[in-house]
Amino acid sequence: MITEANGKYLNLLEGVLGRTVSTPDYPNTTAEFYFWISKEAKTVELGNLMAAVAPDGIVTFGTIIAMHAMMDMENFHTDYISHDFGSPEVQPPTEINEVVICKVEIIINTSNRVRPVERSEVYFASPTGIEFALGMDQYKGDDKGIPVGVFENGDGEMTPLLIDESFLLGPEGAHLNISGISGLATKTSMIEFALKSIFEYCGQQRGRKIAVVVFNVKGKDLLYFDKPNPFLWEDTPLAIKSRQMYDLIGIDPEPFNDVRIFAPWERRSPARVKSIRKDGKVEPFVWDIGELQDDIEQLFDRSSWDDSIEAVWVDIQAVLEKQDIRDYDSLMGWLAEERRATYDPRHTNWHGHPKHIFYKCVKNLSSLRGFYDGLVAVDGAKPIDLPLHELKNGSVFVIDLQQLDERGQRLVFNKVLKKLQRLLEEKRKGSEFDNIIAFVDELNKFAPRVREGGKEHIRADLIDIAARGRSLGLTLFGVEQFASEVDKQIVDNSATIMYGRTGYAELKDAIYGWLTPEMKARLGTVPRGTILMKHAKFTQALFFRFPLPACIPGDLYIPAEDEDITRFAEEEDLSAQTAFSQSEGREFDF
Amino acid sequence: MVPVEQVPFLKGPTIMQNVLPLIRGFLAEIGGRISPEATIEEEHYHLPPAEPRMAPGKFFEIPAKPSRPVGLQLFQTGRSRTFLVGKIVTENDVRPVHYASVASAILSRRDGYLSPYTRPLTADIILLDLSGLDEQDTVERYREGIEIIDTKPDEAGYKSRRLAAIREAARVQHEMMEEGLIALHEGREPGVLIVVDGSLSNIEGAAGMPGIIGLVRGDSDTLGEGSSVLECPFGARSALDQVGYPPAFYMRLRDASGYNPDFGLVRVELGLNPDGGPADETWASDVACLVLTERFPVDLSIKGWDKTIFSLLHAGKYIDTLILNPRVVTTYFGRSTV
Repeated sequence: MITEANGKYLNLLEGVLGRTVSTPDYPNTTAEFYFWISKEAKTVELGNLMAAVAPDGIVTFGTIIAMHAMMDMENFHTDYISHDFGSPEVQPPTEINEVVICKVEIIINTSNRVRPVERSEVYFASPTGIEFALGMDQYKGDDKGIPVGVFENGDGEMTPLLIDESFLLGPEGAHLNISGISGLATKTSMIEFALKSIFEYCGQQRGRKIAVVVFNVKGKDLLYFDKPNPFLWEDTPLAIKSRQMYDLIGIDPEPFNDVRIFAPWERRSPARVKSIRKDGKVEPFVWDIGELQDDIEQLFDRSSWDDSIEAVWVDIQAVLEKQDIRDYDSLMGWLAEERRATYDPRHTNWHGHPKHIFYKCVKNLSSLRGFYDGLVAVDGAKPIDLPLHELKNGSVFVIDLQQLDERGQRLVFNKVLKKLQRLLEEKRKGSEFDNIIAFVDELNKFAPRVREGGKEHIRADLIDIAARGRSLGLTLFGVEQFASEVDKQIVDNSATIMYGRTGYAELKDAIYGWLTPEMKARLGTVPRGTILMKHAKFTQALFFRFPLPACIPGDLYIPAEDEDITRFAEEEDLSAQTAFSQSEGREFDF
Repeated sequence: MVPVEQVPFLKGPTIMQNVLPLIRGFLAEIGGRISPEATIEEEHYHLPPAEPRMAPGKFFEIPAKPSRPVGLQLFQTGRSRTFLVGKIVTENDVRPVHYASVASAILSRRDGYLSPYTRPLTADIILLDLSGLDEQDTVERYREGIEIIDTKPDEAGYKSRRLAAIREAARVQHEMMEEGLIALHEGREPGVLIVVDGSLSNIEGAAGMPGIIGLVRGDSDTLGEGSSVLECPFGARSALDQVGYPPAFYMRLRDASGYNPDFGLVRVELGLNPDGGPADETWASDVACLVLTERFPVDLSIKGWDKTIFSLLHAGKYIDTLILNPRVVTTYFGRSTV
């Protein structure tokens, strides 16, 4: 029975689409129900959110998790015979009856009772119904919703999909994880849109103080947060739909305002940075040995930096502190002296360590110049730290690490995270931040599920952030191709998990066991801009759409010729480059 | 979205009255007792679907195409299920009380898909021999809620009364089919053909309608002792028998090789031709051609599938969804006590 009270939950204009049905083999339960759809209901599809109205007026909401088309036929032979014993060109005058059955996973109903769905009429849920079903009406009213996209039902109605701020930025839950195959511009676009939404809704409208630190570990995907996206203004269906979504959600489709980009220092380039972006926007950073000394072991694998070498390093550090040596050149100069002193055959050890262990440690340290060029300040260069203390409300800092190797990337990532933690801890003492969002691509590099030497401590730190960050205000937005390759605790601690198009081999992993075969098949083929999301406040995963990002995806950005400052600086810096090239790759001569 | 109050609501669904408690109450008040059968009466007692007809020995090849642009579009069938639900025992008599569920429907075919052409007709009936029964007041009172039919058996015996009940149920079914045909006749476009499941002679006035065709299963009841029609090959028909009424011919819908001799055999009865003229051999060939194309698809799950056509089978399935499931009836009375 439809009343004023429950009618608002239904799309009555589309009308009743089908009726619930159950059989001994397929009973309706408290968790799921089945319904058939009329032949005219051509837009009903997998993932739609439906509303079943019982005669007593109770409405049960759920999403379609499987659809089956069945003919009134006991076996294949019957149809074979019906076509004149296997003549496909025969057209029988009457078609065999065929019915499409939808399986619905129940989300909620309008009563407080847990009962199976009885005979009911089935409608598309209206936007109001969708908000009720997903519980969005509760936190939307409290001004805690953050739109991450739109849920487009089979009737074409678009409902802004709000996730609960308390479960994205804390304190109830936190973190966002997105996985999916590369090349569809889905994962980073989604993050960019989510960040725009957070700035708009949490920052602008609610006065929450938020900053973002982005780690660009490959390509140039994340280097142009400050550049508008021209594809958003084209007349393609996707662009038109995207603009509609921005309008509906109420977000200005403009790129980010306060963007600073950092990259390791480059001695040989006039741009002074190891970055693909060369328009002068990128600022360099480079550290002296004093900055790196606590984390230096991260730059080596276990075979190069074992406990005996660590012991040597501890003694070297003691001397560095005593003699106040902070730069790499001075360190290596002092070590050269120390080494020469041990050439005397009467010296069998250095500070109690076997000479060959000391030599190996020195050799390792000397290799930093070549392997981590740009990260370690050499040849008299002055250190430039990342100015994280200059982060302010609304800032986006992009740290471009793509030209560092994995160890270098991990070191920077780890150091920055620790510093951000310290910044947020100062919050209690009056710091201006409520939240800092750390966005890292290729999360599997930093927190792989399979334990690998050299990554353990960073993995542990990430697990710690995943577990504690929600109370601290440090939120991790992690992106990877394969969720199965990321540490389970990190993914599980994310209150919001999203899946873009996912390969079938990946979908065989146990972490996708909760998906029906139909949902897996859909996930394997979802188009660009469509994502499956699990959110702590939603009892079910949902497919939804999000618009093209307001800032251009880096791989699509073609810089104008006059943007490359290195071209103009080439001639005047030629002599300097020559000087750099002469010292390139030089190690200290011991 | 528009306000709820502006949305035109669908017409309310047909509500199938559950008449079983009413029948139970009636039985109690007239001094009867529940004594149900587990099966329907039509499975115990047999009513021949039609009288045997002559089948001239000459066979004609059915043409590949009809001589005029016609097609079968409407399909009518009916059902009657009669349940022995109780008895009234007197000093020297046992009087059975039956409940019958009766329905008829016409399906229309458009672009290969079937749908109801008009609203189906259904009825719930109590059947018993009322002669000499003391409780006439009770009967009249219950008639306000359910149809009660006096079966008026030829003889006063127990078996005769049971046979009379199913005969009355069948009569009601045929009356319903007649009612459906009359309504159809008034609104039907010229040239639209209707196939009726069963003999036209069972339905008052049917044989005098234009464009109507009756399809009767060819078995021992309808063939009689004549065996020549058993020789009818697949793809041929017998000559039109115009001696009997309505005109009829036999044809084979399926290839009988390897099967029993009456496999796929049907009798096709013809009303007037679509123009309103009497049926002749040309019209018989046209109809045979149309019926032959209806041999596909098949529904092997239904008994007697070889002697009927898919659309009529599905009209029957549709009716099955409109009347009470036999298991519901037998279970209800099997568990009840008065």
